[in-house]
Amino acid sequence: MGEWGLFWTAFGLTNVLFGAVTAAWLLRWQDRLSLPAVPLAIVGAGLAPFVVTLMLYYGMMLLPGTSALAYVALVTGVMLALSLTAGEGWGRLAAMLRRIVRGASDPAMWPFWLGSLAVVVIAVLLLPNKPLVDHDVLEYGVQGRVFLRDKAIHFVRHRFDPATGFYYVGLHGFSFPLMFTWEGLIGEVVGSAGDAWSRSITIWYAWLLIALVWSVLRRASPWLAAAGALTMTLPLGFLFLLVVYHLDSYRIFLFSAVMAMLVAAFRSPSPARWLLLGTLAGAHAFVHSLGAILGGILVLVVVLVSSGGIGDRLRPLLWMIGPLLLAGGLHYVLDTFLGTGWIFKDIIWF
Amino acid sequence: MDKRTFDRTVWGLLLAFGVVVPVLYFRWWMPVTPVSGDPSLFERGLGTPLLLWLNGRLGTFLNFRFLGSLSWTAIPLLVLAVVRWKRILPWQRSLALFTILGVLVIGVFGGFNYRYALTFEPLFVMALFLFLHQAFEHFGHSLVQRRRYLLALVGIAVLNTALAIDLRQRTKAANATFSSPDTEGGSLKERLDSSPQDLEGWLKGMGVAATDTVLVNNLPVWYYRTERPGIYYWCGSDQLFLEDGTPFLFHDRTDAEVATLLRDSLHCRYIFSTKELSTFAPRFQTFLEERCTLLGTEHRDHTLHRIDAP
Repeated sequence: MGEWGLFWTAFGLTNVLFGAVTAAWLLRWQDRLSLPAVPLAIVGAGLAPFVVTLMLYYGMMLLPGTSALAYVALVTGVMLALSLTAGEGWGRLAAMLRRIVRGASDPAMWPFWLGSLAVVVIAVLLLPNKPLVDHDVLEYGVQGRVFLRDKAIHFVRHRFDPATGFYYVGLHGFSFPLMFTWEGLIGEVVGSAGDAWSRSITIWYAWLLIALVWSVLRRASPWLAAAGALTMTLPLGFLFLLVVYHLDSYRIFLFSAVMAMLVAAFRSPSPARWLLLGTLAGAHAFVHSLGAILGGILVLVVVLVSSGGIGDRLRPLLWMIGPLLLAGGLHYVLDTFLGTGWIFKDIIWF
Repeated sequence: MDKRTFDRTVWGLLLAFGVVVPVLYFRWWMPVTPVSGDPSLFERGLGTPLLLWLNGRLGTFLNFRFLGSLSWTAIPLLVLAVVRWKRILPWQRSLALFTILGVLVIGVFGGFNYRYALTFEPLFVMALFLFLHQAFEHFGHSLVQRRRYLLALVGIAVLNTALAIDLRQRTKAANATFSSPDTEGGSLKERLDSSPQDLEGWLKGMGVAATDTVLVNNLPVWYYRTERPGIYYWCGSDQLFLEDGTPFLFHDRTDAEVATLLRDSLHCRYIFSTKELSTFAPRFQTFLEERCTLLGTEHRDHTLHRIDAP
């Protein structure tokens, strides 16, 4: 199998199949969440690569040195368990997709389809012509390959690779480097190598972000969604988000989902909503240190803005803290006390 | 506030901060050549005190170059939220408080990098459009009036992108070293691929053995494309990245001592860098010129020097 065979295998498995599983699994809780189906499904689909990397993170930390096949089986097993427990979520996902197909001819949807086509064209032009060239993403890529080679994650004072002399200066959670590890693991199983899928993550999340903003604005008005999404994508910074390989589109997609969930949680508080808010905030933290810092601010805001006595103000945290830590926050606790010291060290800015 | 006042206020703000200020920003305030001597400050658009505020500390709202001409609209919304704090709903308070604290963190610690400020852009766009929708409903705007607003917002975004691209073109024209895929010539692949071509072959051609240790000046592509040993270094902070720490290389050492340390203690005979990266530290650049021999410059301006024997 060649590099593009590996790309389509990783894309089909992770983005499409696992994306459908995580979307269906979130939709399964729609009764309790009472959230609109389309944005919820988009967030669910966006969580699939995150869940994959989280499983690899814990797998390589707690069961180091196992074979590539075993790690792929671990991730697939977790996804299988989610798909089996998604129950009614599958029906809701199918109904939602049918609604989208039926409404595809609505003129107010044409800008979205045209924009999506433009994103596909960008992907088709970019992926074969632009290798990994930029500094930060190469650092993530090298660290991901170190994880792939060692099949282990340890916490060390200096993240130095004695075999090559590489020193990982990154402060952030390992979700993005582990994307490279995941593609490498699949590659080892199918007998191929490449990084096209890891590079495509940039474009994938930029598109999901556009879809998320569109789906939220469309609830107010279809043309508002068209104008809003266009206005969001036109600035140079967003265009770079699409064409410069980096973790930013992944990070900002999750941040936007956290913000939408924060609004939802305060509009109609429920344990399910606080749980999902904590999970999304943890996922955001697992991608980047800024997510961890903003996660801390989020906790503070929830306590300050909630009404009632101190017990009432802390109650949402009972639901939020566990998922926030497990989904990504724990990494920074471990890195601070057992590893590099995270931001509590002399930071080198690049 | 009545409908007329609302319309006048919004149109006035859009004209002032969506059109007039961005034109001033792109045509007059943003330099096309470095104002100070620091290339990184110029690259990040922070070269003057005014720009340090616009693109740095308040970059989340006012970095017109990368965030467009509408992120500032979050400022009046936040002011409105603060002024009416006790009358707004808890979800509005949570969003406002989170935004204020988040923007403060980014402005103080991450303002040097537009990517961090970009985090809030989708949120601000959603807030602006949903606010306008609420206002349209509240004041009873007609469909034509609503479309006029939406078209104006899209028009402002298009104008901003045109001005930003024009700035890049003018910067390219004024700086021979400015390099970016959107301002370069050549095929798409040549524009997009700035990596060293056939790094292994290039190194072999210059007689570097696969086991030779090379000082790598902040170029992770070395580790991504080769299996060769390297000592990671960044001349911008003058730090070596070693197993037990990140000591300085040049600090408190003469050039002769640096050469001896590299050759005898670290067993390193070569330095891999680029012309551009080497300019970040004049001392490092001088060392390359005076204590090393340039073996080759790759067509993407990657350089390989051999450290001369004392």
